[in-house]
Amino acid sequence: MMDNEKEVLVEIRDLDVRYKTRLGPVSAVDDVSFDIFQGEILGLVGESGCGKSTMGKALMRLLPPATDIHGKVIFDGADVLTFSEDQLRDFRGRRISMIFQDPMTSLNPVQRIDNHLVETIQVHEPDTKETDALSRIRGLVERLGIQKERIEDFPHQLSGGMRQRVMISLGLVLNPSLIIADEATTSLDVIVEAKFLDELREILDEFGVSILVITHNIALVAELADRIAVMYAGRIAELGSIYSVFDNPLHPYTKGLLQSVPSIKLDEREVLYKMPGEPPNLTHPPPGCRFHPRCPEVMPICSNHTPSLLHVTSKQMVNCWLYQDHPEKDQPTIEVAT
Amino acid sequence: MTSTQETSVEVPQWQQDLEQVGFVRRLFLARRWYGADWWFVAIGLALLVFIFSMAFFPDFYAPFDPRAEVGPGLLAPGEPPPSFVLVGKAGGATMLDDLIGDDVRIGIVIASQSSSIIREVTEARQAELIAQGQDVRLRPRPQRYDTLEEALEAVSAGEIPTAVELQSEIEPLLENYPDLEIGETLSGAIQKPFVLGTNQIGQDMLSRVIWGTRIALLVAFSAAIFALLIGVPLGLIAGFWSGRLERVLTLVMDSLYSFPGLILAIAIAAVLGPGIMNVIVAIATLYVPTYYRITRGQTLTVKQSLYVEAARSLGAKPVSILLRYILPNVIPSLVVIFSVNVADAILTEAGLAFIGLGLPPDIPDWGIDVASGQDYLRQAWWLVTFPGIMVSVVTLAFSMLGESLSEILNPRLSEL
Amino acid sequence: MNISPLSGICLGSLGIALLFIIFAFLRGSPGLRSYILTRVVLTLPMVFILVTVIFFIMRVIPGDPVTSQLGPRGTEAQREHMREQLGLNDPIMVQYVKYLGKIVRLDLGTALVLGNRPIVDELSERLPATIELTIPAMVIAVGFGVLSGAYAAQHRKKGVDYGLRLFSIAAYSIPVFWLGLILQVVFGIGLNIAPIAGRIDPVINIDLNRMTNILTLDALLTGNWRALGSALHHLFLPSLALATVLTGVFLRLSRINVIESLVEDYITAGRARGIRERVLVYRHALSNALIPIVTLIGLQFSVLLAGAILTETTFSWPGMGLYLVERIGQRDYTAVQGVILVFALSVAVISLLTDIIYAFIDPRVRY
Repeated sequence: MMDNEKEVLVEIRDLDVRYKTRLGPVSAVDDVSFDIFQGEILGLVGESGCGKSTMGKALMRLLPPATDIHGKVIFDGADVLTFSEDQLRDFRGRRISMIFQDPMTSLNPVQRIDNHLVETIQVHEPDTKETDALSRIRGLVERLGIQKERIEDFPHQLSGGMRQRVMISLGLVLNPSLIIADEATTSLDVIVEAKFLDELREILDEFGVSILVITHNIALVAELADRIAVMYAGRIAELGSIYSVFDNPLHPYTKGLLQSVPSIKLDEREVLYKMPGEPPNLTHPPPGCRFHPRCPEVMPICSNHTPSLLHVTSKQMVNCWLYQDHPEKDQPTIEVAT
Repeated sequence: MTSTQETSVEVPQWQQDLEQVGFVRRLFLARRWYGADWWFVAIGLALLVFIFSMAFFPDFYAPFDPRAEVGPGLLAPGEPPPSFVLVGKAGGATMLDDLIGDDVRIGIVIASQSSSIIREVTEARQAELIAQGQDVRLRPRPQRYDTLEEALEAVSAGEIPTAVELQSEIEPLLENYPDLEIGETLSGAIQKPFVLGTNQIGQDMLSRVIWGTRIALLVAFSAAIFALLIGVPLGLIAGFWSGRLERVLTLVMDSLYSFPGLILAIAIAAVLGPGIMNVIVAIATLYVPTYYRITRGQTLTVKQSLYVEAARSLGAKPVSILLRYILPNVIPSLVVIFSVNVADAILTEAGLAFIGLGLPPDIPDWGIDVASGQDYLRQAWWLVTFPGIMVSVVTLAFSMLGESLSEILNPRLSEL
Repeated sequence: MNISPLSGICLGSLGIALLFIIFAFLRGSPGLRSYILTRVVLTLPMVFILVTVIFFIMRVIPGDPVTSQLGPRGTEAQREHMREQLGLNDPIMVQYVKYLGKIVRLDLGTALVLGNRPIVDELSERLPATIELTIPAMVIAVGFGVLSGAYAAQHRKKGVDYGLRLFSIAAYSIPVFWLGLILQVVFGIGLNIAPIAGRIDPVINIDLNRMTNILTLDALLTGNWRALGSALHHLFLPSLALATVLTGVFLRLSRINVIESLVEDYITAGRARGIRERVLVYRHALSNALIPIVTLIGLQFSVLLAGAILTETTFSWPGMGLYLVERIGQRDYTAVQGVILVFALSVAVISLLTDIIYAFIDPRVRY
């Protein structure tokens, strides 16, 4: 189909996630299917509340117990959603690991850094002695630029960048195949962020892991990712290689999103595009395409029927009626040249 | 391809209704979300309705006057009052009216209750007869015997015309004395059983326990209301106009707050002496700092919020800011604190009464009843049990209400 | 000045507290130091206010200690003599200053009844009994309450959580003195397996060599196992009653704090690393929740004291609480004032200590 030379690492099929809340179920992820390939960086972008974090957590089944999850998350031929508690524990951290948004709150404040690492190893390999575990983490920690003597500190004694390195080392310590970085740079300042990005790149090369970068920062994805998935209101609007999506955005939402990013060209202060309307309330999402109330190119069919995420070119998939046929549709379908 | 309309169809009707109905209906509809907490509140409220009805209409529930000595002492729950009977020769003096005269002798066993029974019954009968216009003297002279057998022997031998004793004790002996027969039952004492038994001086425990509700709630509510009326205004003022006075006030309140409540109440009650008002004052003092701290804290928070800033910049008067913006924000926490305080006040009142402080001893009060029952622990378990259960149940009702309301209202917990 | 045992205990524990504070002050970061300093400075006016409040409650509110002590039959001369003796003829401010002066010298006056002994001496006989009762109760309650609170938090909104919460509400709602009596009825009288009054079998008591007056400790130190058995046997019901009530309080505190810890990011992060749920609750969440719990336990000290007064009364346990109740019955206001003062001071010191311990053990220095 596309990029045949790459091997599929995770297959996500028809994923639905519904939170139960006091005000009714919230459809945070709705009918999402895509693949993550071995060794790639996939950027998942969207506004806050669009379901991208839920998506990341659903891959590891980290959602609250009262959440409905349907669909398939196939990793290594097995469906993660059918795992038992024990399988799940073994899977988490060893096959997929996660780097969280805020490294300050994601480290146990009363546990020393080395204990975090040793505990993670011992959870998965209970026979490992503490000294062996310590010697194993030494190389990793040095590679990530954490001074040896700092690993006996408590989290609050480290700087933000250092804590984020600790989080990465925690994610890498068991050699997982996929790292999910959930807004991992949001809490860092710009300079540290740039360094962090370089490191992520190097890690990818060295360890051969795939990374799913979840962020609202589209510039970050542009710099880092191989492919990009744009999420809107629980669905993927557009998915494709970074060059094709940025050069030729197809979905009206992606177009709006890219136009609303400021560029640092001081000579031409362009007027930024402002998307009309507000993101929908996911307790009562709009029928049909969830973007239609804000869409500049809305058609009658958009409010009646839901489009699907389909290939438009070999490197680009889009979830929009503009590019799909339907008997009730009265406008011609746009063909995109490859 | 799934259709999106499904999602909204799946929202249960009750949840959709939530957004349209008022606060009270919303509370009712929310029971599925809050789970057992909702039921805790409901059960607490139901218990309280019952308890309040007892406090307002004790006459309706209580079978007897709580202060009247209506039965024999230390009667176990459900045990019928013993019936005393006259025993005499067949055809002889077996009825009460046979005992008319000044020196009719009647056999009793030393140290049994029969002497008081016979006195009580004959006095009542005499009064009855006098009221009917008959001039009679009904005053049999007791002849004391060591054992019941001796007394029956004497009756059988004709030395005395009649004897009186518990029916249950006479009956098994009667076959030895074929010439004797059981006569009138002396039902001077009440014949219906005492559901919760009687105390050491023959007061009905059920009636005392019911009447105790009134005094407990009176003290607890008055104390909590007094504390609220003093603490909340002070807290509002201190939170709104910060200054030197506020700092001193806060220091005093914090000191009082850290002081063990019961000990402070003991000190005040001990100095004031017994009396309902004194207990109320002693207990109210404990809770003033609680209200003060809560109100002041909330006021400080709300004062800095944007809408109060906005109101102030529009020239709203301080008093109207206090009443219109700050007070409504404080009320939800006050409801919880009030409910918890009433529960605590009931416990404190009972504790004070238990160690002999606070209420005058003739008031039917749970704490006093438990304290006096302590002396009869070996003979009569019911004396301490039932008043204590009442204290626990009433406190439980208020605590359940307070605790679950705070679990529901607490924004830190509700979304977790 | 001769040092009575109570002054010894007080001075000793104050000394330990002071040593700890100095230790924390020296070891701590600058932030911690300034916090300790502020906290200590704030405690002094608090203690002063408490002392003042107690004095004025006992003096200003109507009720004449002389009349109530001598009764209506006391002659005017006797009253005058007693007033003179108690210094009640001085103006109130003079009395107040004298009172403050006495407190500084650890002199709480002499009892009005029973041989006019110094109240400090009487209290020093009673304090060990109270310590013996409260410490085991506290230890049981903290251990059981904190663990079951964490358990309830782990199973939040499930049956076991509601059951444990109902238990904690009920434990709080049951008057401790009544619970004590019911335990006496069931275990002491009904089953006859535990004594219902006193601290030790009087016969065994004779050959117990007393050093600290904390009987279990004395028995342990002297190796008197029979006495130890008897003391523990007597301790069983009162400490059970007191512990039950406190367990409810700690269960509640620990549950809420563990719940709040369980939604923190580091728990989710730990879960994402495959750490067991049980380990997350009992090691990670609980160890973080313990920090606020320590402070709250310090605040519960006053609940403990109130419970101790009532429990001692119920079980004729000759501690400070029973002493207070006895002296109220005898209208000995000097003694009452003395006991209340000791209670107040210990509360102030304990709350100071817990606050400092809190700041000290929390690796995140916030101050």
